[in-house]
Amino acid sequence: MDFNSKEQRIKPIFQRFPDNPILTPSDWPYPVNAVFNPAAIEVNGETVLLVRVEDMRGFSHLTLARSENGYSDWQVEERPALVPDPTFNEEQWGIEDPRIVWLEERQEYAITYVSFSRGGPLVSLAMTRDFKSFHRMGCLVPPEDKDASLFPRLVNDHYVLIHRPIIRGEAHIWISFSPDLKFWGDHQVLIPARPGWWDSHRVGLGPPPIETPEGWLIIYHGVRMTASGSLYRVGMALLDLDDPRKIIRRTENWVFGPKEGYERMGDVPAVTFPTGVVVDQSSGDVRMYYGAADSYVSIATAQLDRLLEELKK
Amino acid sequence: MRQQKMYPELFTRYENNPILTIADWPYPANSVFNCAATKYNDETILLARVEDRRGMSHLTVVRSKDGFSNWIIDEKPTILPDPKNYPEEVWGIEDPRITYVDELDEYIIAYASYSRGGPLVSLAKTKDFKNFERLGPVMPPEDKDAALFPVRFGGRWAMLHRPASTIPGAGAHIWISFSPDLKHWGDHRIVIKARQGGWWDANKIGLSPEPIRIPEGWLILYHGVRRTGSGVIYRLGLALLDAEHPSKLLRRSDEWIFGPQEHYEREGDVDDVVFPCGWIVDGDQVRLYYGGADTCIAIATASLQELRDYVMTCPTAQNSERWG
Repeated sequence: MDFNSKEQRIKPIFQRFPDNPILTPSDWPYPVNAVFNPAAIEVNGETVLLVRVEDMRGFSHLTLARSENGYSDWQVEERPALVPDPTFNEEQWGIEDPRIVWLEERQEYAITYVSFSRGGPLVSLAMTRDFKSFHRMGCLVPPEDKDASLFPRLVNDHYVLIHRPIIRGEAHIWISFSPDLKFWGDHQVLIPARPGWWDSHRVGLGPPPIETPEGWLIIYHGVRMTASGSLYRVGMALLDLDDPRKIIRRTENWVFGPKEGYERMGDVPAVTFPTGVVVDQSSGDVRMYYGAADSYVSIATAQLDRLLEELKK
Repeated sequence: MRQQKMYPELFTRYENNPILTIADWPYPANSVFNCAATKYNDETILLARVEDRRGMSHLTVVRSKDGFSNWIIDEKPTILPDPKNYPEEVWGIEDPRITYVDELDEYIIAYASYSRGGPLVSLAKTKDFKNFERLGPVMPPEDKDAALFPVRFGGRWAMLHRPASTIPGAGAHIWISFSPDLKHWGDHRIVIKARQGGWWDANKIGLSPEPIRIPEGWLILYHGVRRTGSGVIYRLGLALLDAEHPSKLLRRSDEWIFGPQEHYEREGDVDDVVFPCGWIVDGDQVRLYYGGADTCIAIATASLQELRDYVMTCPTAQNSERWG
């Protein structure tokens, strides 16, 4: 911790988009309780969000929203893209918190999401090529597990999954491996929660890992329990490109946290929960899409170089 | 006076229970309980969970010719946690189940590794109960009470296990998963649900010993946990899974068939627990090896024919609404 640094006060690492929140329940073409925690990916120059939408039964489904510039003029689809499928038992109580990656070698998008089963939340996978038809691959790991994303490519001929099993409320980030996307093993702790720190109670992956020349950039959320509830903030880590089980760097400080009214007030107050990121490779601009207070979708922006600098401090 | 109608007594306690306590142990430890059991050559082998005074568990082999008496305990722990090579074993290894796999001519041991992220399921294999080879962690936490089926189904290995969630209303159920290689697992689904409300097995159940193949299907003995004002009561029920499709539950007992009664089951480190992790079929005799109150090891015997007859009188899937 550098107590002499004024830099962070002058220019925060992440900056909020001035028109936040970008999506709220009042933007929705049908009645809903909350819209939050979106997956994000660029498709043919368009930004596509797959938004978690909670209905008034308390169950969630996923709906697409698109924008040309990734910031404004969002077109929300009239109907949900993915609703809980009763033939998949594990989706009994809804589907939540998606992350999307493009798998070049399979030429399809892979969506990891949370299925809320009778046995608790678990991680499921669905594939799509066009965001119209989706093919479910079933559950990848048993409950209680969430906050999962695939790496956007094979590493050493294996698919790699980051996920977050929970035990008695406390949780670390884990990594697992699969030869075929269906059967998973070699489970191990990747990023542990740090007792006493801002990320002491739970940690969980945010958006999918971002490949950079320095390593896999991980944006994660950390939870601290307070007398009035939990506080969800954001930190970063850097993983070895060839062996993502190795952490090269991890920020001591959180780099983004609840501050504005739309993050402080909502169904779950004091939550900033990034689940999608789009990086403009030419400019290095990073758009991070996050759920605010389990109620809205917002954007924070950053420069990729600055994120890596922060990690190397 | 009318005679009270009794429940059938399927399992009978062995007269010299408990068969093993810490007083028998060749080295200092806190407690010995929850043991796997199998036949090896002409001997009964138990793989006992032993807890030391740090609070961490390891596994030790115990042998007997007749399966009831004259137990020979390994002088030193047989399998110690190996956190250096297997970080998931940092806080000990617990509650093993052994499955002999004819096709491999090997014994596969499923056990709980107490990792920094909570208990998870690991596998190890052995041919001689002297040399053990670990297959590593196969389920993320929290997951335990696992056993492998001794055969493959459509080319795939199958395992029962019990992931747990603390989300209100979710419950801890028995799941089945499949694997092409014993290392990577998928196709996870619930096979036996914890019931709800007032049932003896409401909210939390788990597999007890490994599944046994009987002509009618796979015979399952599972534990149900009832939470009471002063703690928990662990009791046992029976279920039957389809022979070819073990994710299909065919029958399930409404009533528990064995529960804590004797003082060595009622009083210990965890009161009111009977917790079998192994059973051996010898002709018609079934010897059930169970942990009593997380403190000792005891035996109960049953007739296999009586267990088969009983499970075939249990409710079928047509009554599945009562299955939770």
